[in-house]
Amino acid sequence: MVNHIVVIEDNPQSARLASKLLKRAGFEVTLAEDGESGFQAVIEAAPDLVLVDLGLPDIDGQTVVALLRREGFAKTPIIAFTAWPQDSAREMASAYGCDGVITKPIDTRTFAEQVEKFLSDGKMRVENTDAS
Amino acid sequence: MTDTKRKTAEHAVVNIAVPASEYTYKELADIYNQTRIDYIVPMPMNAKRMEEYVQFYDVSLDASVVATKEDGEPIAVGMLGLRDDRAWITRLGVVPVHRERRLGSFLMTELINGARRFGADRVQLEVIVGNKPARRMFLKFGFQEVRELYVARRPPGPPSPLNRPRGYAITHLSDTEIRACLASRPGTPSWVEDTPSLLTAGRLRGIRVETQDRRRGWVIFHHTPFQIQHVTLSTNHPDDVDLAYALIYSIHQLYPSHDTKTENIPKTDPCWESFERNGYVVAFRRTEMTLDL
Repeated sequence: MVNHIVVIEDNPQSARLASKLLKRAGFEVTLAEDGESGFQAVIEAAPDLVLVDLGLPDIDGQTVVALLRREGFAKTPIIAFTAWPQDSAREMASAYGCDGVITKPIDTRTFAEQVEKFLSDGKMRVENTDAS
Repeated sequence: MTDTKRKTAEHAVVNIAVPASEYTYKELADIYNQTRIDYIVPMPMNAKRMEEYVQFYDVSLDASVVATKEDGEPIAVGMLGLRDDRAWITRLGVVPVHRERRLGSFLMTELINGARRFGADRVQLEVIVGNKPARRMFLKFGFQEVRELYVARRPPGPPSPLNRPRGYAITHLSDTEIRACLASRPGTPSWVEDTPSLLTAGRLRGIRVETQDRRRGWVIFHHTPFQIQHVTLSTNHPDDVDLAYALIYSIHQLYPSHDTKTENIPKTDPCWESFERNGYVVAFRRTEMTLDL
């Protein structure tokens, strides 16, 4: 059975790249470009994992996470996807009940694998995908 | 349209300053988002948020500036809030591929001159801690650092009943009382948290807390269906952190499912401890800076 991921990301290039890498790894991907449509997409699709950018143009990623947890998505892995500094990202993600953080920019070699790890063990971690 | 053309020695490029009023909110949001695409703390905006931002914070689109190339392509933006004799520089950014061309300085000059034209004698701004190039530029323009501010978040969740403050009487403030409290609030709020910002944003709710030994205070906040913002409080003794704790606790007891975001709490505010005890965490920090004109 194919795992379905909702990616909530307003930056079109990041969204396209994330989608391409995840599809190549065999995931089904739904993209949403802002918090409100992302929230709706998760409600409708009940995905296996949500990847959410913290900086969104309408309601920010933390609020989306809070709303999803309130709406019954307590056990769905939600990963914060962000360019924030690692310490701040980890603290914010943990406070809001995210299961982990993947920091930007995307490392095309390891990104899909990082996501797979969250699906398999669900532990809180910060994955630095910075290729440098 | 006011044109200001200046050639830089290095690249012989003409930068043109166009009033932001020439652009729609969507265009301004798009330009701003492009300038912040690689920012430390990206905070993109859509047209609706940009419009609210302009209205809530008294941003003058006539005094705000979009820098363009000669062909009209926007490459940088800076906005100017105006209130009486004060001005506020905000949303300053340069599209990454056009950096290292002194566009930041170009915008700052335009905005400061605009502040003078509109009668301001003081300009203030905030810069995210860690944004060293911006800080260096502001210092070169003569800005002085005033204080460090926290932008804080609190995820939804009821406060712990084990930590419920006792011996406090809670009442709700009427709209008239809210206005009266804000009119007499102490301290020097940042631009975003200042009374005009709160009154324009509207949807304000307030709570008063009083003890039997006459310690009292109030907390006022902006309430939306899923988020609480702009939490501001006052106690009759400035260091009464226990009363401050009770005030903040009462918000989250009443609205346990709400996410909370509040900006620009001074790092040195003794009440910050009360926010932390109520589950607030620092999202990021800003340095407030001012320039006397």
